[in-house]
Amino acid sequence: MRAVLSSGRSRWTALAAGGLLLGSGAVAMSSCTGESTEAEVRSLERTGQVAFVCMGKPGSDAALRSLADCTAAPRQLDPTNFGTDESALHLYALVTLETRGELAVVDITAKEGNVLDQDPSTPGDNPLPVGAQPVDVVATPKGTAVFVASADTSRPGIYAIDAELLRPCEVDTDRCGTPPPTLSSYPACQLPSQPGAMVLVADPADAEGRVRQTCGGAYDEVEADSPTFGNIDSEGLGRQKLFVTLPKEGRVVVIDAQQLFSQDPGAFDACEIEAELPLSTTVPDAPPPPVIEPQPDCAVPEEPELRPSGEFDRSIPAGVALVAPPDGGTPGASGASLYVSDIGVPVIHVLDLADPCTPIEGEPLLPTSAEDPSRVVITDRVAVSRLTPSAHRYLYAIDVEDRSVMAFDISTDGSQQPLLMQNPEDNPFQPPDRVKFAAAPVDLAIIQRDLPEENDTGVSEIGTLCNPDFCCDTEECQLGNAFRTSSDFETGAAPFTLRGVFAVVALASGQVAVIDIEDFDAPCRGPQFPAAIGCGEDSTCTEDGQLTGFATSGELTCNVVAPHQTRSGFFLLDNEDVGRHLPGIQTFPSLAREDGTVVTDGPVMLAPADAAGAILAVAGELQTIPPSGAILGDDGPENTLVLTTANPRVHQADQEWALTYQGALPGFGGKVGDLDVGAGEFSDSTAGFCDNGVQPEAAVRARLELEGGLSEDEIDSEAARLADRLHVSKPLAGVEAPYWESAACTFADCRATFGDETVPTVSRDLRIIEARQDSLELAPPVGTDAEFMQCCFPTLVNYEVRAGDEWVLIGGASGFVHDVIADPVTGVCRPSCDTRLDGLNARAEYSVLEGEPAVEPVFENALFGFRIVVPRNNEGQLDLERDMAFRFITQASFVPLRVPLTSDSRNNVQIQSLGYVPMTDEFFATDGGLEGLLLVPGDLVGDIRQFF
Amino acid sequence: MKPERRSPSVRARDCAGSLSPRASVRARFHAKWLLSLAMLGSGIVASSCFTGSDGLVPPTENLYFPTGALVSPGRTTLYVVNSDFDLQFNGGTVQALNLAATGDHDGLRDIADRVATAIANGDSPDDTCGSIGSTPNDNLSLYPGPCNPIDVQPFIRAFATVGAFAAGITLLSRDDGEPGARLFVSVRGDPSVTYFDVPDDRDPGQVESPCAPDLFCLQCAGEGDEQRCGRDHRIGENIFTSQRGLLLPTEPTSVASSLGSGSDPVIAAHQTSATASLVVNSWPVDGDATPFSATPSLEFLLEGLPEAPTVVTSIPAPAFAKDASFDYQPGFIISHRADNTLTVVRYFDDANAAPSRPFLVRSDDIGLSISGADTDSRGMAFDTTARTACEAGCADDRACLEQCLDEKVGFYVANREPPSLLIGQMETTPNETDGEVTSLSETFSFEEAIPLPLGPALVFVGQVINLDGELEPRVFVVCFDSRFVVVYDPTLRKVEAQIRTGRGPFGLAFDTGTNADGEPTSYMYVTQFTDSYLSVVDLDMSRLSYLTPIVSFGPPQPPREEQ
Repeated sequence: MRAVLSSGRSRWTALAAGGLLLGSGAVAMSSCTGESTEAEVRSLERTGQVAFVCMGKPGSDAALRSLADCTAAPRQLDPTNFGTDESALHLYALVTLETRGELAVVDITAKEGNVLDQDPSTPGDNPLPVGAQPVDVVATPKGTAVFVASADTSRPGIYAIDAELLRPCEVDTDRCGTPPPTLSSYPACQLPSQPGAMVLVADPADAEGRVRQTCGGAYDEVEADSPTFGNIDSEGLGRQKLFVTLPKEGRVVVIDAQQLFSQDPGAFDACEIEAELPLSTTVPDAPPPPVIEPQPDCAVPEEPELRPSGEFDRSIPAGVALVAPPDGGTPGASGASLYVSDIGVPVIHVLDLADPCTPIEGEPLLPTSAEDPSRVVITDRVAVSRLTPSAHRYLYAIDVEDRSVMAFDISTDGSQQPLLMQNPEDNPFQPPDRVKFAAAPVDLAIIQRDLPEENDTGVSEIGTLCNPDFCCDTEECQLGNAFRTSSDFETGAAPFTLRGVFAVVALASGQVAVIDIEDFDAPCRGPQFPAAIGCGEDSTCTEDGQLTGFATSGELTCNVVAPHQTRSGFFLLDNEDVGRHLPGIQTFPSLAREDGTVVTDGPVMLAPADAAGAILAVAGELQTIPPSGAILGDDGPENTLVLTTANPRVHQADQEWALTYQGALPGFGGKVGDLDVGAGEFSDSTAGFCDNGVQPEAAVRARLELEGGLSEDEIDSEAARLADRLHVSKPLAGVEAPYWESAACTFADCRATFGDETVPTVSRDLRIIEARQDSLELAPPVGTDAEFMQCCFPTLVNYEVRAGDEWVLIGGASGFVHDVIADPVTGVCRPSCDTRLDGLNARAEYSVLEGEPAVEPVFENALFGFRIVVPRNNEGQLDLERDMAFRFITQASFVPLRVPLTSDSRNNVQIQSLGYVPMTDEFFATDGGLEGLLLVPGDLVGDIRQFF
Repeated sequence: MKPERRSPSVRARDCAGSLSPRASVRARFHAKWLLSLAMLGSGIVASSCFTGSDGLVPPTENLYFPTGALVSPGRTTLYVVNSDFDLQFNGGTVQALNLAATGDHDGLRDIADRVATAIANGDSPDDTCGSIGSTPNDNLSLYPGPCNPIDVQPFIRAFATVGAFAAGITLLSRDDGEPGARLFVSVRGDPSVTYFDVPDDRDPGQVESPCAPDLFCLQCAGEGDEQRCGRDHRIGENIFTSQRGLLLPTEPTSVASSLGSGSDPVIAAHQTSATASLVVNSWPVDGDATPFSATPSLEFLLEGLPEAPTVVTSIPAPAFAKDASFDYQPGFIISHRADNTLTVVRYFDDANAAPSRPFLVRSDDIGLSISGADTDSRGMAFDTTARTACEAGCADDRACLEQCLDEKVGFYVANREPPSLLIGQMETTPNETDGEVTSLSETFSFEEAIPLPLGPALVFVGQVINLDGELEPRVFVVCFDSRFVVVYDPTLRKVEAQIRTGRGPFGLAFDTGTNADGEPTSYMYVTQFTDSYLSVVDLDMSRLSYLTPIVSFGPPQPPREEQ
């Protein structure tokens, strides 16, 4: 086959992946039709899991090193450079390549030539061959051996690779002359089925330093002065055991690492399983969900039928997270625990590995969903924190089917259930017990970072909190002063100063997100005077008789940092140093008719009366809302509203908002339904009327009756006024259509009564008396009779649903937010009784201006607060017109701290795994395409290093 | 209404030895414009220029740029569509290959069985390949498998000639108790949806063939030695195949069908006109001679869809919706190359009107944001394994069938930007009024995205045989550009394997059932577009050959530029 190349990316990458024709480094090729294209050869295709080893100069006594030794390893070294004194250490990443069944060795200390070429005689940087579908890799703590789990469909097993084989001739000259490694170069054992995640756990040595070589054996002495090749015990950290999950069998098996390692190269006997633990398929009863009190005017979400309990079909272990003390503990008290997520059973298994040879499953964690208690929640990846300075330990897990991340407090007094957010009603857009993402979370890690400061007092301990109190002068406080935000916002407590405990989440969008767990700088992030914005008490510290306030960043919300919620990527401020990041509006709302004519003397928007003194950011300028509710502009009072900042995360996107009088609800475009005017029925099985927030007259009536204060007639009148309308938008059949020849009505009469689709009459509106997901009950038409209307619209009709005598608020990105559900008993559309969702409201009533503007009704939802006041015109009529709208654009929405791994040179990064490299204070991410291995700085600022 | 005039085009291709249909079509469009000018200048104008009797007759004894493939319900026949992608001939073909043995004539399945068994028994390569009249493979990189390809010609039992650039294929079986089966193929070159009356083999022991006594048949009023399909079978190519005088828009890239009540919708997606077309299939009924009462006809064009609709798939209807008191509108989902959305359309049969005028409604849009900005969506597939198993235990118990609505239905979409498989599900919720179900709401959500090799295209759900001899579902994604078929296990939520195939894998067809001894068998047929051959993959986990190509049927023919 004649190989012809083009400049198309796909062709390049396909060839590069095969490494068939090209050598390493950049090459120039001619395309068939275009100019030469420079392309870098990529050796790492579909990188998966990563392990690390630290090694010194080959052949030296200190070739095998503990990972911690590589902390100070200098970077930018040539792979063969071990320093003038030959003591320089290199940190190697061992990366599985899933497509080709290989293990790449990447020197992340080196500047160039990072991927070590195991076979220079073959073009490209050749990794080590291992079994097909490598799904996990682990290395012993001091790098003596590396184990790769292969999920080959016909030969599942574990391959044990001697560290001596990791570095090729180029680095280790002792290996020159030996043939490149093949699949038979290392021992392996066959598993009974495909493995999943794998960890190494130490069976601790006894007090005399002796280890038992088998689970049932006696304790023997071992030489553990320094690690030596081929002898894992020489690492002196106990007898290493491989804990391997077998997803198809729902169990965990224990294999002695040294025993496998000692087999002959090329061996592939059945693995000797020393112990096994079938994971439990018994699920305890789900805890009862919060009680939602039913009310006459709302619907209780589907009767909280709890998720099933009892026996499930099969356990399918997915991810693992190990908690183990670094020193390995003592026999019978290793201190190790293993957390195993499960995609078959709604639990996270907790395995006590006090004796690794006898793992015991304890009480599991219970992933549940507060939003939908009946849902069976399965979890994929898990991560566990260290014990935090506040003596807590947290576990985070990915809820696979929900695109969310749950947090558990697994401290000794922790609960089995996910943690609940504080004040969930402040952010109804997020579930109360997890963080939900638009892009799917793929993997996660929990890190603890600190940047100790030193001053005259000393060096701060790990976990020293930032001190915002001017008057606190204890030694600890004084050390904490050093972490305050500087006046120019360049140093100190800041979004990118990740000092604390954080969950870092890899998203399918190629971004890395951060969730705050324990931010050591949280006390210094927030308002200087919390009482002024109603979220806390002010400091009592004074100076020269004046209250000093707190030495904080000055952000105008107390929830900039909130535990187990997404971290903000910016200071929530508007100033020259940090830019515009306080949620606000671009300009004051303006009112215009449907044709675009600006209305200056009609309805006005005012801030709620109790918002006097609040701050509104308008085009970055902070304006104080006066008691009148209207900020004074150059041309007089401006339409004004207030943005809620109780939880700034509600402001999710910069978007255009339209508050439209009798506006059309979104979600019905292009749909058709069956209209039976005589019976007062309309049906469309695809409509989802409740899902789209339709408000029937019956719902309004129920609310008014509950509120009280109105007579029966007044209730009838108000309910009819505020009920939504079905607007028939279908054009009449053409004037020439054969239908009119036999119809009882004429085109002209129909046109006169109903108008056309561009100038419709009110007769096209049918009041909605009751609504269900797929049908409506309608009142008779206005200005005509049912028979005539049916004649004019004989077939399926296009339609809209419009609000009654009120305004609807619709965001370009957020849409029409509402809490309407289908009542699980009657099927009618009603607001949910869940008070957590009260902030999901987008309908605003108005008051008529009679003298002074009334303080009610007030519109309040999770994002905004305002009131609409409508004057009468000279004829005494209300100056209202359908589709007239207030429009405004929000800006400076909450931007979560995200680091995009994609760039101009990396179009698509599909993260497969994420982890933290404490030695270099970096995060690693692997990619499902050709982007190889990426290393991101630990503070998420700075250049991303990439190896491919 | 005049049929649209078209000029012939030349095939343009990229330069790496494999064809990217997208690149080829773009190049073709440009070249088509240039050539059409030349043709017009020379006074030569042709209608439907990819179909005609001029030029070379396409080969009927082998494959030629095969695209779609489909196994008949009774597993007697493999239908393969050949596209004539380089326009060397005057049309493409549709072929019927026998899967099961007939008389002393082996079927494709027998050949595969022989090789798989030999491998499982540890036979030598010579013996393994000798058992099928072949020799050990001397070109593993181009034609993976243990043996050299064998001739496909003996297995081709029927053929017909269609226009060029045929790709999509779907089959409808009559659902009113009468025998009947029709095959529909989308032909971009015409453009048309060409249909064939084919044998109904739902009872393999009693095959009802329109060409009886021939058991293999592609009845399309074929004429001439090449059996070129008659005009009336090329729906949409001319106004006489439509009650409303409609013509099919250009570039019908994909076709899907569903069962209706009385009439069955067949939908085609048109990638250059943002349109979906509705062909309504009717079955002959004794005594009813109404025009179009027994044949398919083009009924409606749904325009204004998001750009570049590419693949259409039918939403599997729950058994609860059959013979229900409420109306259930069969649904289809359309993917788009140029938009990060999927379009849901519903078929309305308008049965209450006289005359009825069936139509499509765009009922919903499914935004794709699982990976941020997922665009260039291609194939889609549903996994109804759990729901079907539930329904099988219900017989006619409607309460039981309603309970089965809670069973998970997996939904999978292949995306090229970024190359990934989107994992989701469809939830079916009954809507009730006063305790009576009045409609069903079907909603879609996505959970995760699995990275794939380059060039994901079509997605299929098939069944493998596990170590206990039971069937398990798997999702198969064809990655055309990178020559992989990725196998995803929906239970373990992991990629199980990446099958390295020959160049340009395009269509998959699954042959799953039991053999004469009642033991399960399962194979996957892969049309290898670039080299024009067919490969067979073993889907039996108990064998060493599991998820590997075991037989190739050819002979392979590299593209002319490489010869």
